[in-house]
Amino acid sequence: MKISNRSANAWPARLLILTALLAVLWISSAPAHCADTAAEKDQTNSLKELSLAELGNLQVTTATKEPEAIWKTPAAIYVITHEAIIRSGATSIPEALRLAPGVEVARIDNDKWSIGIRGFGSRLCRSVLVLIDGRTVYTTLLAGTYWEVQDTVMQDIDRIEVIRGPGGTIWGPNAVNGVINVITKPASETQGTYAEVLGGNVEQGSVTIRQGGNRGSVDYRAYAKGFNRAAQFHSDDREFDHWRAMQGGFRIDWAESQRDGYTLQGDIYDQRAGESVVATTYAPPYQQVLDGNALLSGGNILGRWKRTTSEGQDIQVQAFYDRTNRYEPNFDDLRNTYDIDFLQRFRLPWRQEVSWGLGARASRGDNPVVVSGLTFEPDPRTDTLLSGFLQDEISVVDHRLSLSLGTKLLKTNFTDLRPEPSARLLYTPTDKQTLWAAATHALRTPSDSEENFSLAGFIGIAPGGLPYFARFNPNKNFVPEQLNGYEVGYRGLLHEQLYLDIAGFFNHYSSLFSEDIIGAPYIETNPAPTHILLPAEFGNGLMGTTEGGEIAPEWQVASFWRLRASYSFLEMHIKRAPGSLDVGSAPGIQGSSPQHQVLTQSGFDFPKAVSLDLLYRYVSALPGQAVRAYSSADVSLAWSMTPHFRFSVAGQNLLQPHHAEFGGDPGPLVQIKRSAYAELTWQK
Amino acid sequence: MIPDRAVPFTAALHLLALLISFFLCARDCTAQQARPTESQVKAAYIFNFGKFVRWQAQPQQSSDSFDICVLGKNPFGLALETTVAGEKIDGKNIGVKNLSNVAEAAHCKILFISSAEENRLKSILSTIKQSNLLTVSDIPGFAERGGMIELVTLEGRIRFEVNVAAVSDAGLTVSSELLKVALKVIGSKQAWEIDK
Repeated sequence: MKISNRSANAWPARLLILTALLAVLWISSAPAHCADTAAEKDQTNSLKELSLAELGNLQVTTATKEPEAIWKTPAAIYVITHEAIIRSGATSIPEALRLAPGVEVARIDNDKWSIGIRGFGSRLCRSVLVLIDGRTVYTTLLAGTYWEVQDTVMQDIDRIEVIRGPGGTIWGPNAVNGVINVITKPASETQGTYAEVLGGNVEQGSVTIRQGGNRGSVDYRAYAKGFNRAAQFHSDDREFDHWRAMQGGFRIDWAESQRDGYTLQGDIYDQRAGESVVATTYAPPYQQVLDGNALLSGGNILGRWKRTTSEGQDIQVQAFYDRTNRYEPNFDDLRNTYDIDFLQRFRLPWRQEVSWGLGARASRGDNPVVVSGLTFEPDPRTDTLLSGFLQDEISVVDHRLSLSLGTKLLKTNFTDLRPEPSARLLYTPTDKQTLWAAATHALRTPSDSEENFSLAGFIGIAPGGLPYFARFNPNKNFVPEQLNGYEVGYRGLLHEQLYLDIAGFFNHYSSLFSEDIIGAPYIETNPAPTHILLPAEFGNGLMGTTEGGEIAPEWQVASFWRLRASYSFLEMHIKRAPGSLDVGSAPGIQGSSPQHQVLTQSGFDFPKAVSLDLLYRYVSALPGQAVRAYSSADVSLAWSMTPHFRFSVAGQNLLQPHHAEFGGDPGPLVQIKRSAYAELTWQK
Repeated sequence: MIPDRAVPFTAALHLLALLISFFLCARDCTAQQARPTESQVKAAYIFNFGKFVRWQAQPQQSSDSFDICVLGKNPFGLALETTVAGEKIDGKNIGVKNLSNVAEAAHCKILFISSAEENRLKSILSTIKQSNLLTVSDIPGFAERGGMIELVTLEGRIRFEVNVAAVSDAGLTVSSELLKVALKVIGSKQAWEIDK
């Protein structure tokens, strides 16, 4: 299949120019029809006539303002706001992540996504640290994140903070290429009743109910949701990826005093996620494609105490327990994870702000054998992780230049103590502009899948009748993948209405995950029956560099039109390290991340509480997945009929009946369908 | 080919949306239709607070204008000036002043503390303690931390919370009309929450 990049590359630029032209056209014609300053004056004057109660009922537009929280962060941080998520019509966290620059989100099938930041996107999302309300959601089994079980009430998400590049003060394993932090609203902001019903062709039915309440200084909420999602498009009619889920949860926040706050929150879920897997067995039929349901269930509970002793000083202690049950057609994972973290911030003389923290995690997993070709040993196992970090932020020139020096320390049952130092510089020439630069050393820790895992693949029947397998054996000598990352960035409020965020990076990787053939084939009798085996293991045989950048402007074009856009560029050069036994996996890794990504989100506010959002995205080809470049458009039209009722209609992936984004399932590529849904929400 | 059809379609959709808004705006481009901005609504609130709060009568009037002061970065643009233009509170003309230092707040009746001052909040509040002025801010947690009126944004609407203990400490009284509409009233002996 020929994948043509050339003409596809011209379109993102052309589209941006077209949109810019339309905007300029609009702006230049504006004074004739909507004289902003005169109308603004009238509006301000009319507002003071309103009673206090009426003022409190008005819906406001939030103008582009400097995002306070991220302004002083010397990292490429992007905040996906609550408003952006709701207006985009995204119904799941992975879909909402498409709104951030530098993040590659590719939907494999109905319930699987390949996600990465600045390259290395995969089903397992291995080099990104993912947190929900401070709880890390990755599994030590595979050092990755199962996105299909990360869900919450979309309406209760306050924001998703995405950091491209190695994380700063957020410590923990796998903050190599980025950090994704999903932050839900505190219970005090989710009071009252919220009910949502939606239905469409793929989102066949979804119901969410949330009730929030309050007693004195305690705020709480509880929710329940369920959905049923129909399969995506399959050219061979094997519609295996039907997806049903139920989830419930709660949150209690207690503001005991001005200083102390406590939070307790938890979720519980149960899902039937359809999937297709390859099951390999040493006995006939050797290799089978199984279409079945993965039964995924589990829950978590988290407690946190935060004390703010005085300005710029606080202490936080957090502990959580997570239970995950995965029953897949070819393997099972039953896991208990216990984690406790401590964080403190305080001030020192000479304008220094110090933060430090410690964390410990134990994860005990049980993987009973389902098919003989996929085993973990020993079983069960406990993986432990100890982490710490220390950072000193020095105000070299007050309010103008600051230097952050710090390091993370990591020790796991697979590795000895390893430091991950970083240095960051932040320069604020004016109140409205920031320049920053960073150099970081980061690690991706080994996981059970490299050190304790045996995965066999069936190659064929050898002449003579014996079956021939290749098997990745456990590699106890797998070392952490290493990154030296160098980044720069600029953030500026160029104009009251225009905000610009630019970042560039150069990453140098070594000891990257490779697939090594470690010997010649031989006849093996155990496990029975007798077969020929080509021994392999996951090694550290690749190295290389990635470089690129992202530019993300946000423009309040007129009081009723806000435009957000982003362009992300990535170039990967991955190759075999000298002396490596890698089988040739580098081109596949390089070819699974898009070189160009474009996103534009255009939000219009019409009179009578109607809003319209148009989302366009372009992703360039993935030759390593045999996926062509594609463009996609989503439209969302919403009408707040009364202050309580909101009705909306959303269409997704509208430009083609179906298109492929990423491979991973056996058989032909699953394609994501054009879909639409209608939604009704009620709030009190 | 996919991109060939995609770009014109999206551009057409954009153009259509623009034309619709153009049309609607041209027909009804009066202030009431378009949504007000946060700054405009907050400015209107501050003006209203001036009408619903009673200051102690001072034997020596330091100035004969009712001063609304903004400490730190001014987020209102011209909205505050436009709102108070031509209006009077307590028979006095209203003046809007930008302060860079809290020490200059002596003659202010209302002090709006910008969110850029969040790190210095504790020292600001202790400097103006018992200063017979009304403190307003949109800093999160302002009311809990001793501020008098906190402006909060909730579901796209601007509401406010009142700390009556801080208000009475400063020698001011707040009209019950104001308290009735507040989202939350804290600091009174029988602290109660008012349902929105």
